[in-house]
Amino acid sequence: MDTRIPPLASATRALLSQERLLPSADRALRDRILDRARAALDERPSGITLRPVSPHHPARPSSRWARILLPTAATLALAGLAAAGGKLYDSERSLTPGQQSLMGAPAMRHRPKPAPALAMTNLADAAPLVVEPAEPPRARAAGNEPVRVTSPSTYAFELRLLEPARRSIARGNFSEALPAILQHQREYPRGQLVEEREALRVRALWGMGARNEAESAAAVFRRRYPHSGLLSWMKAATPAR
Amino acid sequence: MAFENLELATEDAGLPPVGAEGCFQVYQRELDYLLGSLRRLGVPYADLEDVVHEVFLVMHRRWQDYDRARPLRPWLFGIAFRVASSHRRKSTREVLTDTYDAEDLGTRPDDAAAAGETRSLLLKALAQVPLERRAVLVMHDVDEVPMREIAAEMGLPLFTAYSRLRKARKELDSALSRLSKGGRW
Repeated sequence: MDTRIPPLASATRALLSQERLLPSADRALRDRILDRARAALDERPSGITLRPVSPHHPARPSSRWARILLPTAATLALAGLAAAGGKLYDSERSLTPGQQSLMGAPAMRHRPKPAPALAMTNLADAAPLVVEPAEPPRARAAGNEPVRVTSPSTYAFELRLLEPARRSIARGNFSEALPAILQHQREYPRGQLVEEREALRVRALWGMGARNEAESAAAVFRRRYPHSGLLSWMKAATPAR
Repeated sequence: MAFENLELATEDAGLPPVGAEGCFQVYQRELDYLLGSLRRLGVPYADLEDVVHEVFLVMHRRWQDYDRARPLRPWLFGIAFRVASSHRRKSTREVLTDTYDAEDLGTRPDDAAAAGETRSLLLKALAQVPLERRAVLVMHDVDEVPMREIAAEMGLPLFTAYSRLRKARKELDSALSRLSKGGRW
């Protein structure tokens, strides 16, 4: 076996040895990170356990199933939500006031409400915190679609955080969806369900009647996820220009 | 033996403590090492907080399986490497610019305080070494982990580990000289 290794240049060696002498990370960052770890230990829901997995062995079959089933379930749920959003909008437009009153409270409840003044002042909080620069999306070859990498445990946590938002939107309580969306943004700013979170944000803003904010959030979303179908309901909801 | 006594006993023996609290203590103690390793593995500064949290979750999940007779840092580095690789793959799901690494590995306040321009240069040069080879190089030449330990931790044949180190050193040297010729060193 050839185990002879060419020596590093002295300058390179010096640079690498400096890496061993790095000072501590700044205190605020350390505190945030440790608080988050502590919270993860303290607030772990009883229904979800982190099963020990040997680092040198592949995932067990149940984990593999979780990797397949969880994303599929979430995608189906959100696709259903998107479709329901589109249908709801269409049905509201096609009903006369009389028909709506015959339909009773549910139809009226789902009507997009004009946002109250107080809620509108908080829209800056509801808008995405990270606004991507307006760059053309990178072209992707057909067979080169990025693969969604999932971690079943964090996926379940993220799903649990977003579920109230999805339920609120399904009930037509759009403004109630925003706290869950913001909480997910705080806890998983680059999580596995960012795409779904941003789609829910657009739906919530749209439902609240904040059309401008919804459209600008949708524009950011489309730049970031050019191949996503989660905003397809907007095509039906937006009049042709 | 009571759980608390067992925890004290392992600490007395210089071994990492057991249990969730022990895992948290080790995480707290090794946080700077993890942050530095993740930066060297190319995790952008903006994502550092999230990625190190992922490392903690994995660490916690595997804490019971960790063989306390083996050194801790190579084990932690192995987790950091896998999480950083996964993060890198996940990032391709979003629209990124070609200069992702170069932009995000630029000098940040903490780095500037640490070693200023030279560290920024080293991180840029490291970013040009493919991740699998970079991990071996960082473990061996920064963390001073023996090659056998690296091979065991990364699940590689020893020869492959040596081969990766050899290539990585060449790539790092040439990346640094390219950057220096560009007047940046």
